[in-house]
Amino acid sequence: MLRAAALLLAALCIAPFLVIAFAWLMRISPETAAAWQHVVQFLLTDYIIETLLLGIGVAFTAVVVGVTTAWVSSRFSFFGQSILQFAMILPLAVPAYVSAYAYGWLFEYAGPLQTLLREFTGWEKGDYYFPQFRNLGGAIIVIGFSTVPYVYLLARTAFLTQPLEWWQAASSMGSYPRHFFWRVALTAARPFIFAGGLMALMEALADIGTVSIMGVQSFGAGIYRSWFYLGEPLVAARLAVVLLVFVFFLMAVEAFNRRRQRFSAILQNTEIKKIKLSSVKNFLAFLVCLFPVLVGFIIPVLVLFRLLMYNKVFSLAMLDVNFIWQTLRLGGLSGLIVAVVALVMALAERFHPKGWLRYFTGLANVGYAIPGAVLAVGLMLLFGFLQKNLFPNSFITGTIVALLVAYVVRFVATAYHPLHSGFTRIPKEYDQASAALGKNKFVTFWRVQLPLLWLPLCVAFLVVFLDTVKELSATLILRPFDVKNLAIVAFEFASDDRHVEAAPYALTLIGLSTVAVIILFRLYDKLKVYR
Amino acid sequence: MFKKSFLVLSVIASTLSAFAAEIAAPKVAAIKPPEKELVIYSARKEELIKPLLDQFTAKTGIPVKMLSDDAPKLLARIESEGAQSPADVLITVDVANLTIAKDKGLFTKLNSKTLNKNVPALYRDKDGEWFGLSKRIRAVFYNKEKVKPEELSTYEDLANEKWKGSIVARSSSHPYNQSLFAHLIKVHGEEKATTWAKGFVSNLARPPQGGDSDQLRAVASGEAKLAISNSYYFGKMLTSELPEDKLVAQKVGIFFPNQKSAKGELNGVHVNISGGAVLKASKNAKNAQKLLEFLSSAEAQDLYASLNKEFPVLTTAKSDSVLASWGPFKEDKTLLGAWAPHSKQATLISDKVGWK
Repeated sequence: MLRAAALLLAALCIAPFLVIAFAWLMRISPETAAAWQHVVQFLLTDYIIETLLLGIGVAFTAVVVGVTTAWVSSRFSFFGQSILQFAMILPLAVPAYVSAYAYGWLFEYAGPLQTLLREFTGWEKGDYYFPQFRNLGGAIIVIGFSTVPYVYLLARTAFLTQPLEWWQAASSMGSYPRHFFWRVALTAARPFIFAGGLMALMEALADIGTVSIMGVQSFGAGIYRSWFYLGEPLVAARLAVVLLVFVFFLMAVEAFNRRRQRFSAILQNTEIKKIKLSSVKNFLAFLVCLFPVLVGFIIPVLVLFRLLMYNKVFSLAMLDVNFIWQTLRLGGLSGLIVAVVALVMALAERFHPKGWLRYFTGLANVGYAIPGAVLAVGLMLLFGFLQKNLFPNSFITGTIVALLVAYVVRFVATAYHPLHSGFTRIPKEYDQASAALGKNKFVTFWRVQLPLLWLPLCVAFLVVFLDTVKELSATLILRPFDVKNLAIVAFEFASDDRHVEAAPYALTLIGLSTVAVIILFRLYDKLKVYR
Repeated sequence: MFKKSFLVLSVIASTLSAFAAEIAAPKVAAIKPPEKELVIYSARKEELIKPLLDQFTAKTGIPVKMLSDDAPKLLARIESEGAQSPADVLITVDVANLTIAKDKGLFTKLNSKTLNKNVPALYRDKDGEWFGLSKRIRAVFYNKEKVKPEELSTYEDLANEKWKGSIVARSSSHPYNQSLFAHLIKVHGEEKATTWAKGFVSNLARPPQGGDSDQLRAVASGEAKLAISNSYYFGKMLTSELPEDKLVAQKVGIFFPNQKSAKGELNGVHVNISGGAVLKASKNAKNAQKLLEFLSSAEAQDLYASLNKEFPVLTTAKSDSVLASWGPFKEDKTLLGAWAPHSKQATLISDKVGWK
C-alpha cells in the first residue's frame, strides 16, 4: 500500500521525462531533422561548453565561498558574527533573475556606475576599460552567489556537529586550526559539501531567466530557444534528453557519494568553543562573511530601492494586497503538497530500504535540474494527450491541479532531501522496538517517527515554499486565471522594459522570502540538536 | 509530541480541503455564469490591453478575463486544451505568431463586414482568420549629437562598414528582429540576406542584450550611435512620467528607413502588427467577434495610439500628437503573410552568422 503510493507518486514525477525521452524514438519530419542538424552543426558545441563552464563556475563559487564562510563562522567568534551567520543565507530570498537584472543595469554603459565615472572624468566611449557584466562571467557570479547558502548551510551543519573529540585529539597532537581544517574537518564534511555543490550545479543547469539576461548559450537557453523561437519541440526534447543524461550521471555520483555520509544518532551536547579572533583577523573574518551577503543580497536590494526612488508615481498603498495573498497561498499550498509527496516517498524507502523502490524515488528527484518552462510545456503536452485519448471529459490544463503537479515534479527533490536525512537520523532500533510491540507501520510512523520528523518536515515545507514563491516560468504558463502572484506581476512589468514599475513587486517578493529564510535558518539551527 | 503531530496533520488536512474547494469552485461557476465571460489569451501584457478591454466591458456589458504569457507558450496551451479550451480570443504581437497558429488550425474563419472594412487588406489574413489591430514600426534610432539623419538611409545600409561598432540591437531570437529579418529574406533572398546579417552583426557595438528600451538607452548614453527598436518604445519614453526616460528620449532621434530606397530593397519601413483571432474552441464566438470588431473601431484605435503609441490600422483613426510629430512615412507593402513564413529561416541564418 505504502509502496504502491510511493511508486505512483514517483511515476508521476518521472512521467514527464519519459515523454521527453520518447522524443528520440519518434519519427521526425525532414524539416525537424534539418533543424536538429542545424543545432548540432552550429550551436551544440557552444551549448556544451557554456553549460559546462557555467555549471563548474557556479559550483566552484558556491563551494569555495560557502565552505570558507561556514568554517569561519562555525569555528571563530568575531565582530558581527551572530548576525552574519544567518545573514549568509539571505541570498536565498533573491530570485537569481532579479539579481541578474539589477547587476546588469548597475554595470552597463548607460547604468549609474559608468555614467558617474564618465561625468567625473570626462571620458567617453573607448577612453576607458570597463568589464562587461552581461556574459558568462556575470551569470556565474549571479547564480554562484545565489546558491552559496546551499553549501554554507550543509557545510556549517557538518562542521558544527563534528565531535569535539576530533578537535581535542588534533590539538593535543599540536595541530593548528589550519591543519585541522584541511586534514580533518574538510575531509569529514566532504559528502555534505559535495551535496551542496551539486544543488548549486543543478540550479545552474535549470536556469533560463538569468542566462537569457546574460546572453549565455547554455542548454537551458537552447532548449527554450528551439522550442519557442524555432518552433521545434522535438529538437528541444532531444536537447533536454542530453541534459537529462548528464544529470543522471551527476545523480549517480551523488548517490555513490551519499553512501559515504555517516550519520550518528548520538546527541552532541558539548558546544565547540569558538576561537576569539584578534583585531586584524577579526576584521578579515567579518569581511569574508559579509562579502557573499553583499553580493547576493544587499547590492541587488539596494539597486531595487534605487529604482523604486525613480518612481515618483508609485506609493506603497498602490501595492495590491491580493498579490501578496496569492503568493502566500500558492507557496503554502505547494509547500504542503510537495512535502507530503516527498514524505510518502521517504517513508516507503524507510520501511523498504533494500528494494527496487529507491531507484524510482531517486529518479523522481531529477525534476530539479530541468528548466521550469520545459517541464511545464512537457506536462501540458502530457495532459493534452491524456485528455484527448484517455479521459475525454476531464480537464486538467489551466486548473490549479496542473500547476501543483508541476511544482511537485520540479521541487520534490528539495523536500525529499531534508526528509530523507531526517529519517536517517532516527535510529532503526526505534522502528524495530515499535514492531516488536506489535504496532503496524502506520502507528510506528504516527507515534514514533512523526514526532521526531516534524522539524525536517517544516524545513521541507519552507524550502518548497521559497522555491515556489520565486518560480516564474512554470507558474506563468500553467496558472489558472485567478492566480497572479508577485513574481508574475514583477515579470510582466520587467518584460515590458518597465523595470521601475517592477521594482516594488520584486522588493515585496524579496521581503516575503526573507521572512521565510529567517524561519528556515532557525529551524536548521534546531535540527543540529538531533544529531 | 502526539499533539504536535496532530497539529501538523490537521493543518495539512484543512489546507487540503481548502484546496479541494478551490478545484470545485470554478466548475460551479462554469455551470451557471451570471453573464458569459469572454476569455482572452493574450501575448500582450495586461497593462497594455486592459484599458481597451475595460472600455469594451463598459460598452457591451460583456465581462472579460485574460491570461498573458508569450505567444508560443499560449499556443501550446491552446493545443493542449484542445476542444475543452476555455479561451475565446487570442491576442498577440507579431504576425508570425498569428500565421503559425493559423497553420495549426486553431482559428475560426470570420465573416465580419466591420473587420473587413476597418482593417486594410494588407494587415489581415486573406482567409479571414486573423486581423491586425495595431501597426508597429521597426525604426532606426540615432544619437542626435553623433549622427545626422542625412547619414541614414535604409535597413540594408546598416550592414555597411561605415557603421562598424556603432549599432545596438536586442537578441536575434526576439520575434521583432526575426520578423524584420524574415522580411529582408523575402525581399532579397537567402544568400543576400545572409551577407547582410553578417555585415550587420559585425557592426554591433556590443553583444545583443536587453529589450528595445535598453537599446534606446544605449544610444542616448553614447554607447552606440544607432539602434533598431519598435517606435512605440520611443513614444512611451517621450511621454513617460519618469524624468530619466524623458532624458533618454530627448537625446535620441527617430528615423524611418527605406523612404528613398533603391530597386530591390524594402520599399518603405518594415511594419509588423499586433492582432487578434477567434479560436476554434470558442463557445462564445459571437461575443469574441464583437470584441475584435470593437478593437478595430475608432474608439479603440484611438486608444492604441494615445495610450500605447502604436499606429492604428484604422485609417480614419484620430492622430496622436506624438505620432504625428514624427511626420508621414512610407510603408513597405509586401503582404505580411508573405514574409512571416521566413521567420524560422531567419533564426537559422542568425545562428550561422553568430547573431545571438
